[in-house]
Amino acid sequence: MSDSHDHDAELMLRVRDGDILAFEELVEKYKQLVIHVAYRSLKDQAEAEDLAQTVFVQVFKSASRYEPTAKFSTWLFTICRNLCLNEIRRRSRHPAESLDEPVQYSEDSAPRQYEDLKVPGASDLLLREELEQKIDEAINDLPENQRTALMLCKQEEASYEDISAILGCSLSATKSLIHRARETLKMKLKPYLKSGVWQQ
Amino acid sequence: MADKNYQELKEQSWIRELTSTEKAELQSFLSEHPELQSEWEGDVCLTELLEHESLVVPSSNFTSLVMKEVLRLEKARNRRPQSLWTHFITGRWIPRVSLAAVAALVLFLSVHQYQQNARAEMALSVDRMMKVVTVPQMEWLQDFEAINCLQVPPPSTDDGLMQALE
Repeated sequence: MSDSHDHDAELMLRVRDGDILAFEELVEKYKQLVIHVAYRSLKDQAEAEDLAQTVFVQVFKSASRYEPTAKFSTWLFTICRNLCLNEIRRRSRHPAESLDEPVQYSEDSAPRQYEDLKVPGASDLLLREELEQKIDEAINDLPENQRTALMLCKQEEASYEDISAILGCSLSATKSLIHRARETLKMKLKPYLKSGVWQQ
Repeated sequence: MADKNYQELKEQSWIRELTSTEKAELQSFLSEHPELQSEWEGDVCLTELLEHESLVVPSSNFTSLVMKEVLRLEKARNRRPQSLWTHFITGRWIPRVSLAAVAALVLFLSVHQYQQNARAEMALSVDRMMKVVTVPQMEWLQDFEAINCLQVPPPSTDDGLMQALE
């Protein structure tokens, strides 16, 4: 655990000294989880990627002030969460029209349906897709802090201390958030937990 | 194993896989407390379910976009901090500073010249005054009070002469 911690800190110190390749290594390592955490907050992949890009640029800009007092990942996800919260606040002030709203088409102008090539047609994948969709919905329905806490558990070498530092709350409050999130998910996904569909 | 330990192990299982020792410890605890077995199984199922949650796959050019932006920033940053000497050689402020220095010098010399002229003129005036007004000698001034106190009347011979002339 400390090896990886030291490695990230070492990379960041190299970034501070102007080593761009070290920064690229950090981006490669953390990009997926940062985008995922942003996606869970913003519920839009393109926006999540834009925000993740801003997160990494912010990290680079702040590299000169970086001191390896805390874990790099804690620092990174704190920046990520703050930017996500800013974006959520901005959205609440300037709500945009959703493209997911059902659109009324006239008979002549009805959109053509195209086959989604990304989705394999095999029926055995339908169940998994449905399950993934249910998990997605259940997670999206969680309150923001519970959702973020749950996502941060996915970090490699995550610790409750790190998660509580990112969320800015106490250790017991963090555990309580995760516990409540898991209990809600258990309730919502109960049929899938029982049937064992997830095992496929 | 106390309930507290069970809770701790459960919490640890939310963020990482338990070690074989921890698993054995947990199994022995659950065999003693079968009422908690279903709760634990539900927890394990949820953990595995969440592990199957598909992570968002980043765009293939995500890293290159970030690096492009970072390189742009780096380039801008390198352009900014020029040495003082480079600034001195290439800076646009040199003509302005030179002009300001020349203007300040001209102003200084003008003021200096004006003061010189004013002083010379004053000295000339004082000299002229000295020539026109003759100041009594210092000894006279020193004895002035004593002479003034004498109140000597004009000599009587002078009076007689004046009367004879009339």
